[in-house]
Formats: sequence, structure tokens, C-alpha cells
Amino acid sequence: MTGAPADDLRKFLAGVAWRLWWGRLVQRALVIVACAAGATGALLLARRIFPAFEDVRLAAALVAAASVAALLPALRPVALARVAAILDRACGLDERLSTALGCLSRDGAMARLVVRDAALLARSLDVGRLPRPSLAGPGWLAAGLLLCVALLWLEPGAPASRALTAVAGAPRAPGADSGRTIAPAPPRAERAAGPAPASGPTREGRGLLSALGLETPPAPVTPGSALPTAARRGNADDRPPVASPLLPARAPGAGAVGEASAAGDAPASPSTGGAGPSRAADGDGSAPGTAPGRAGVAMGVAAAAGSAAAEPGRRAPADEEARARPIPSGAEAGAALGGEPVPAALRHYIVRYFEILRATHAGR
Amino acid sequence: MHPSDDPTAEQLEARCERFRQVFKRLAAEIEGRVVGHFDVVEAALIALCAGGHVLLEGVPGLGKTLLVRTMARALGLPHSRIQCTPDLLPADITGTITLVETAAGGRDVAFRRGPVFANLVHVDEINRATPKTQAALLEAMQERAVTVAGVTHALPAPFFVLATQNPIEMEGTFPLPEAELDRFFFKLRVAFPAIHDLVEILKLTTGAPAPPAGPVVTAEELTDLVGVCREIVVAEAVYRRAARLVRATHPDSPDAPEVVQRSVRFGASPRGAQALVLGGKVKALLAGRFNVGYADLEAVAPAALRHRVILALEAESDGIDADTVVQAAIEATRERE
Repeated sequence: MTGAPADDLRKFLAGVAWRLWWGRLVQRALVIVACAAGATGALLLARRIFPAFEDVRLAAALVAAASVAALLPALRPVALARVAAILDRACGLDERLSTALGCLSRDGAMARLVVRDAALLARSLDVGRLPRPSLAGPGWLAAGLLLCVALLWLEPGAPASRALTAVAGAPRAPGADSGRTIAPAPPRAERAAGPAPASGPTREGRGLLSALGLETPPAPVTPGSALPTAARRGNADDRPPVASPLLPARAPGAGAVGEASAAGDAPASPSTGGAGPSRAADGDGSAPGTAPGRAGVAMGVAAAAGSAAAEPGRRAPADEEARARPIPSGAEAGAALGGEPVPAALRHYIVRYFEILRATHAGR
Repeated sequence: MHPSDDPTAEQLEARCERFRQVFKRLAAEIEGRVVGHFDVVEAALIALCAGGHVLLEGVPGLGKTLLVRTMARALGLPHSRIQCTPDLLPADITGTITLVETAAGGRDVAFRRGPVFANLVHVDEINRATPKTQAALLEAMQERAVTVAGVTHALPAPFFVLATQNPIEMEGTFPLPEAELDRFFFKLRVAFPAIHDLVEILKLTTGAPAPPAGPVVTAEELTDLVGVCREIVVAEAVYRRAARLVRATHPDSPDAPEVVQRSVRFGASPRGAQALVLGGKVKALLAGRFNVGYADLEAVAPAALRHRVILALEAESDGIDADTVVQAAIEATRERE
């Protein structure tokens, strides 16, 4: 059907379709932001709970890809039939526009009447007063952002972490004031080349341990120690040692075995790396399976790595002192948190963490 | 229709306007005599305009027969009345072959038309007739023709059946079979009038007799009005809504609400959907529109579907009636829109 009423109706519907398209795009984008914030928060939480979780980049890439994929359908134009149905419902038009849109492809007196009626009605409609697309997920948006903010607030270097550190009576974690919230994991190639990143906790994990006064200080720089590995990783770990009042004592020989095996060609050092004299590397550099690394990882022991050969028998006094202290129980760790504003779930995981740590250490 | 006979939009609009005026006049004429049943009168007229038959249900003394008689007079149509009893025979309705005397003094057989040969047939207490007699009405209602002795006789147009039945006196009655119930376009419940309506009824019936209703429309005009209703446009989405509504009355349908699944044995037939759309067209026309909306379907749905839904025994024990079921179906389809 052609003619002024039909053209008017088409133009009107097309205009509203454009408006609805924008509204839908913004709405979808907001929901996606909320979901992405929630996913980011979940990633931060996962890194907190599982310090060994290092595939953050992959996870972040997945979140980004999912966000883009979710946005794509919103780019499709809004069908005129859909526009007519929305207007009919929103303005109580008794399906006049939907019917008229169907009549555009018909001929006959009644079809002309219907289109004329709808075009007249459309002229009197105030499109500006149409209901805006509802933000389907304001709750989700708020929840996601809150989670993200809360976790960022609890990140090392954030006020909550500093408060926890103060409660535990330990010096602040190195780099606590750096303001960094998410530290990227070291590249895979680097991890494969040296065991150091895998042997100790991640920066966030160390921040949490530091907050509880449990971070193991790195050994002093000595020729042939594991520190070259740290140096190779970059400057972030190249910090002065921190003595922890709650540092557990380590059994000789306990250490990160896997690091030595990954490292390859050198025998593990019993000194700073914590690998005892009993650990003898075999011919290809792989170490025999001694007590592995969860405790070692948790205690932040720098591993004997790569080609670095540590000198035996040298241990820093502060290290010795720290190692002499017992691992706190879960209850003690919980008490150390005190009345600090730590989410209950996180508190629970911290307590459980120390229970497992203590049990592992006792079993060794 | 030849292209040159195609009416212009203005002519069609004028016909629609005339329809509204005639309908209002008819309703006013009937409501002047039948007090307190505005909804029933309007629904009965909608059914007549859509070319359907009406079943009126109500206890005795509510004015069902008066309503039908007044409608017949207001419509100005030849009408007849059939009082159903258990000994009523089909031939008493359709007519029969009788021996007649010819003008030449000889004798011949001829078909003597029964009371069904009228434009408006009032079948009083239809559930008192035997199933055989009720079945005789089936062909008349559906085909608008009767067959006697192998000869089919067409009924006059327009042809409307307005039947009444009493829901409380079940002794000596024969409930209408589903197939016959399905032939009725609407089933209307005549409720007991409110106090102020009852007062008006008393004033009307206990004083000087009021003049009977006069004809407001002729048969030709009525036929034209029925034609106008059919011209009303229905959007695809509205057709789908009507179909979904009818499907929602079926207990095995995924759209069926919980009350339907629990209380219904069989849902409405496709004739129910036809009644929904046709009734919706008349409602739209009365509202000054040229298209049917969802609200029109919902307005006529109880009258169009309540007699087409067959309830399970559990429904009666739970106190659930057909109207509850239809309302649940309406809400279920509205939510899914």
C-alpha cells in the first residue's frame, strides 16, 4: 500500500525503531558491564582463595569475549512488527499499529481505513513519553560492582589489607603501597624457564599472607642463590626481606621439588631454596620426589631454580628465626583477623587454609 | 465482488458507523424491557451480529424468555417458540410430510414446515427435549437447513437460535451433548438481578403493561450488519493469541495453566477460536475500531469458551467451574505475550 498515511506510518515506526535500538544497546551494554564486573570479582576471589591460580589472562580474555558476544545480538535492528507491538502494548492502542502494519501489504477499503486510523493515531503519540527500556539488571549491576569493589578493597595494598597486617603485628607486605590490584601472571615461557614463580605464592597470595604475618622473607642475595630467578622475573620481587613473626619452621628437605625438576640442569640447593641435602638431582636435573610444595609455596620459599646453584649451609638469621615459629592454627588465624571487615566467606577460607597448612606441616 | 463494487473507505466507514447506531438502538430498545441484564443483552446481540446461536442459562423467573421475545420483536424478525418436553419429536421441530387436499379436490403429500422455519427460534428449556430431538436441531443450527424425507429445505436467513436451559432442575432433563453445545456461539449466564434492578423490574411489571418493543431493524439491514462485522481486520498476532487461548484450555497443552491441567478433561474446539475472533470483531466495531485487539478476545472469551470446556470430576469436587478455567487460560496467555 502506498499513499500519505502508509508513508507516515512507516516513517513513524522506523523512527521509533531507531530509538528502541539505541535504548536496547545501552541496556545490554549496562548488563554486560555488570556481568563483566561480577566475573572480574569472581576472578579476584579465585586468585585469593587459590593463590596458584595463574591463568588470569585466559580467564579475562574469556570474559571479554563473552561480553562482546553478548553485545552482538543487540546490534541487530529492531523489526517494525516488534516496534508496533511494543507501542500497542505501551500506549494501549489495542493492536491498531500491529494490524495497520500488516495492512500495508494489503489492498482494500478496510485495509486503507485501518492504516489511516493508525497513522492518525501515530501523529498524536508522544514518542518521548514512551516507556524507556527498563534496566533489566540494576540489581546485577550493583551486585557485580559491589563485589568487584569489595575485592579490590581487600586487595594487598588496600586499606583492609593494611588493617589486617596491623592486626597480625607484621610489617606491611612488600609493595603494599604500590596500589596495584591485579598483578598479571608471568608469561608462560618465563614460568617454564624458571621455577621461582610457581614455587612461591602469587603477589596477591603473598599480600594476604603478609596481612596475616606469614610471609616468608626472601633469602638474602647471595651468589648462586635463587635470587637470580627473582631478578629474571623482574623488579617486583626484588625487594628487601620481610621478617614474619608467625613464620613456621620448616623441616629440612622440605621444599619445592617440582621447581627443581622443572628447572632442569642443576642440583637443588638445600640453603635458601629449602631443598635439603637429601635432595639430589639426578642426571637430567630432575629432583627426586620429596615433600612438595604446598607448604613451601605457602611459606613463600624461593625455590632453587634453573641453573642457579645455591651455596649450602647459608641461611639468614631472620629466616632462621622466622622458621622457628610454629604455624598458627585456624582459630589463631581467625582471631588475628579479629573484628576486621572481612567477608565471612573469605574468613572461612583463611581459617581453613591455616588448618590445612598446619595439618600438612604436622604430617610431614 | 467486482472491483467496481469495492466500496470506498468512506463508504465502509459509514457502514461501520451505521452498525454502531443500529446496535445501540437495539440494545436500548431491549434494555427498556429487560432490566438488569445489560451484559447479557449486549453479548446476545454480539452473537446475533456475528451470526451465531446463543444458549441462555439461568434459574426460572429471571427473564430469559422475556429477553428472547423482546429481542425478536426489536429485530423485527419472524420468530417462533419451541417449548421442549421429553415427548417432543424431531418432526415437531423440523416439520413433517402430511396429506393435503389439492385445489382440484384430490389429495397429495406436502411438507409442512415446523417452527424451526423462522428467522429467530426460541427453544425454551432445551435440555428437557430427548437427545433425538436435540439432535434434530444440530443440522438446523450448523447447516441452516433441515432434511425431511430425503429432501433438504433451507432455513430463512438470517437464522438464529436462542435456547434457554435451567441449571438446577436436572430431573427429567437430558444434558446437551458436547457436539450440540459446540454449535452455540455463546453461552450466557443470566444472573439474579441486583436490588436496584429488581426494584425497576417490579415497577415495570406490576404497573400498567408497558408497550411491547418495536422493530428497530429489518432483516436486510441485519444481514448487512453481519457482513460489516466480517470485514474487520485481524492482525496475525491476534489470530495467534486466539489460537493460544484455545490451546491453553487443553490440559495436555504446554500453555495450559495448572488449574486447566488439573480440572479439565477436554478443551475448547476450533469453533471456540472462531467464536473468539468473530465476537472480537463485533466488540472492536462497537468500540469504533477497524481492527481486533487482545482485549476484544478476552472480553468475549468466557461466553465463547465456557460451554466448550469439559471439566473433570475433580473440578466439581474442588468447586472449580468453567469460568475459572477460562480466566486462568486468559491470564496464562497474557503472561506469555
